[in-house]
Amino acid sequence: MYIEQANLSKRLIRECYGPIVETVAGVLIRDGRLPLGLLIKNTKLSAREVKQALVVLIQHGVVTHAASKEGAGRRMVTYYSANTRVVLRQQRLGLYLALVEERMGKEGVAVFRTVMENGIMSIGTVKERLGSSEWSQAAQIKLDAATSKLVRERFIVAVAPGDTVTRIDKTMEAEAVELDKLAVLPTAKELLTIRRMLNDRAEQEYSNTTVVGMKRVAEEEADGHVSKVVVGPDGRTLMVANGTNGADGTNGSESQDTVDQTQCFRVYYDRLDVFLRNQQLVNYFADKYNAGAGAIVKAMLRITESRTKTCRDRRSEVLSVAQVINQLPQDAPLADAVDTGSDMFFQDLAASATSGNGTAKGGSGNGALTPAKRTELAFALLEVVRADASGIVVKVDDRGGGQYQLNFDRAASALRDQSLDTLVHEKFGSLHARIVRVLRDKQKLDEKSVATAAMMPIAACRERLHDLALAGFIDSYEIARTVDRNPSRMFYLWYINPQKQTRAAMRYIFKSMTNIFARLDKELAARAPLVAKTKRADVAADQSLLTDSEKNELAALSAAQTRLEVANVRLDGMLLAVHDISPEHASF
Amino acid sequence: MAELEAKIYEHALKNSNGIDNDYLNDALPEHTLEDIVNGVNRLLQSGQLELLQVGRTILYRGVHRSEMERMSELTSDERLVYKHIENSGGEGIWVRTLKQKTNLLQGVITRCLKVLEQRALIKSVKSVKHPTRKLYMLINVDPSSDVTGGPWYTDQEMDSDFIDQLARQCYQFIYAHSFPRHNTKAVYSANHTGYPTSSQIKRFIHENRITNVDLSTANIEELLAMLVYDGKVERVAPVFDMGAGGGGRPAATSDPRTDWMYRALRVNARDSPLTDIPCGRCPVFDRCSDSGAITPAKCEYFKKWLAF
Repeated sequence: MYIEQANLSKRLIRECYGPIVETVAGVLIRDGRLPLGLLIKNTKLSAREVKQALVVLIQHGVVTHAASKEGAGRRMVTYYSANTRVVLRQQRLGLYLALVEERMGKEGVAVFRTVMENGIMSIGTVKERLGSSEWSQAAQIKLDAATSKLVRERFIVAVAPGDTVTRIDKTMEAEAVELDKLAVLPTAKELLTIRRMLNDRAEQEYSNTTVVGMKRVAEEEADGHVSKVVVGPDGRTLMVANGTNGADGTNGSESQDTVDQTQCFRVYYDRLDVFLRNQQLVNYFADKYNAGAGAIVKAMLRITESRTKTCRDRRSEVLSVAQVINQLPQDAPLADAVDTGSDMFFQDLAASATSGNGTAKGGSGNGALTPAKRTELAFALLEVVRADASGIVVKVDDRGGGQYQLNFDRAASALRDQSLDTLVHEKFGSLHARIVRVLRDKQKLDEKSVATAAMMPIAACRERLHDLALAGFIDSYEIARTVDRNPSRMFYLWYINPQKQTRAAMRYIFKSMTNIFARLDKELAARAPLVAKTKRADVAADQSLLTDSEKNELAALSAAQTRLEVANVRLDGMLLAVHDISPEHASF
Repeated sequence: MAELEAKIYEHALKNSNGIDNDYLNDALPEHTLEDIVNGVNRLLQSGQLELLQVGRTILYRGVHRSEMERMSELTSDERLVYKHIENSGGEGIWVRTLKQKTNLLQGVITRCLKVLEQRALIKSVKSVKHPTRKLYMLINVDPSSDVTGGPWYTDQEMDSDFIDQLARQCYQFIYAHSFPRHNTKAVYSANHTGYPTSSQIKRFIHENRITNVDLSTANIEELLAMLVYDGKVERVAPVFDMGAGGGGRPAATSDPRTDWMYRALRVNARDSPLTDIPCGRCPVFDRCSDSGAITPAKCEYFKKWLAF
């Protein structure tokens, strides 16, 4: 898998930053941590070129650095190491931009894109790039509001000087500081305690909900009232908010926090992966049940979004039924989603919820649905998704109609298993997929038991087991019957190793993506003269200068490009489901 | 003495499980124990009684006349082999096991088996679990399902067509009961108890005469497990209806074991992104690289795919 990952990473870097940067990154990916001298030697580039390439890579978070004392003279040597995970995110930039535009509007996506294209940038510089000083006041206010929202929602995060230092070196340095405090060499237990403490400190830092990079601004008027023009709740209209000084009188207005213009920010990709994962979860339930179930899960995920930092979080906050029902949009397709029949259970629950809390949204709601009926249907759908075999939605308490929680660990497993089962089904066949599910359910089995459970002849089962093992989707476990471990007298048990399965799938994905890029290059190269012709000023102004066959060729090229790029995006979506959303693999 | 032997023989025939000395002593108080034992010995010699050991107890069982006639024609070795084969019942016994138990030479066993087969006393069957082994059992004994493989095997081969057709019928029945009839887009609520169980599916197969093979509930559950592993149905735990609205199903409450229900899943045609491109199904994927004879740039599969 690592060769394929390295090849794909190099290809993506070339696409984004050019061949020189690709050469430098390629050497770092291949050789690991290197100091500048060795990097220059291995790349065969000039020192200036290597340094410039390093600046670009560090700016975009692809390369991190760490200094350590070496040699008798204890001179400081800086090592550089590449992070392929950041590189592979380049595939997803289109999705991120679409996501940001949907949630933050045009202003938000403009700021986001500028920061993304430049790696690290302060908001003041972003505004200069966008030329916002020439905009109208209303547009500038919208831009500020969008920027504040981006920072508050953690789409972009503040950058500290230490962020470009390699994480493991930071950990080792912190450990060294703690060890220096000890008078003697530490025992194994003391070392473990120190490491645990540092780990807890890192966890605390991760769990910290303080948003860095915001500052409070209040403009006081002569009469003591604080008024300012703010963006309305719909994110588009402007209104004046009035309130007494020190009190929260801002009726329906945004927070008074603004972004520090001098603070540098970078895009927080891990946070954006949460939204992509949530979308996949909604699709999972919508496919399995119906659109109504998908709407319920979407509402739950929407509530948890603000508190879920990254895909590393294993469980969401606890949600009440009232919160979920309030979050449901008016046009949620609940009417035909669930058949409660004349079941009194949900009617009673709905009645107690609407009388106790009065939280059901008013109005006729979804077509002819009354609020009580809507609540009843929402309750019923919540129970349906809770009863799902995947165990993603968990009921933690029965108070107030029920308190629910989302288990992201199980969500990641369910999405991964679904992706891999579909892959095995399409690549090998339904009988292979059956064997995979048998092994996932029963753990370790010998081939006879697999054949019995899968209801297929033993010879065919043996052949399929070996096909899957060769592809890396299952593994075998040997139990010796004799002391000499004679292979002919061993039990061979087959089982699913999730890590190995994931690596096998990732290997296929990375290689396929690299192949797609190669094919794309070939399609472009084959029509290079034609593409150059279309860029001519006269042809660009007047398309009729192209002949019919040239137009057909361009259309074919466009179709091929679209098809290949869409295939790449889909493969990246599969990579997300199989690997990136898993809490074990999700980074900070 | 003949009278005593006749009485002992009569008692032994009456109790097919066997009788011991204490039973005979109680049943024949007028005779001494010594006489009883001598009578038993004579009957054993003539073959009218046979010895059994149950735990540490020695029992005597009566041998019917027809069986005696059969046994009288056999030599002692043949009789020994026949007895072991008889004891194996429907499971059958392998030649090697027979050799271990009887301590007879291979040639002797082979000869005995040949004679017994010629006299139509035993038959050989093949086991589905061990296709290379020949098992021997009495001619009038039906092989057990372990040997034949059960209803899923025909002529020692797994009948995949039969399994698939039956599975399809079961799936259609389950699907028809998994979604509300008036609105197939909807789902039933979480406490719905109308999903079919394995016993209901078995009844459906039997009543509609879908197959004339006798299927047990365990067989049906094997088939349903296969559908679960195919991702077409899922097992749902029964819900105990504690509310006033229509109590629990009587069958479930009276049945001590958990009566799982089965619910069909909406199987949407889903294609994997990997197999959507030629690389996913390419036979030379592992040999493809940037240079060499097989490259993405020269790939014919890509060419056809892009032209499609």
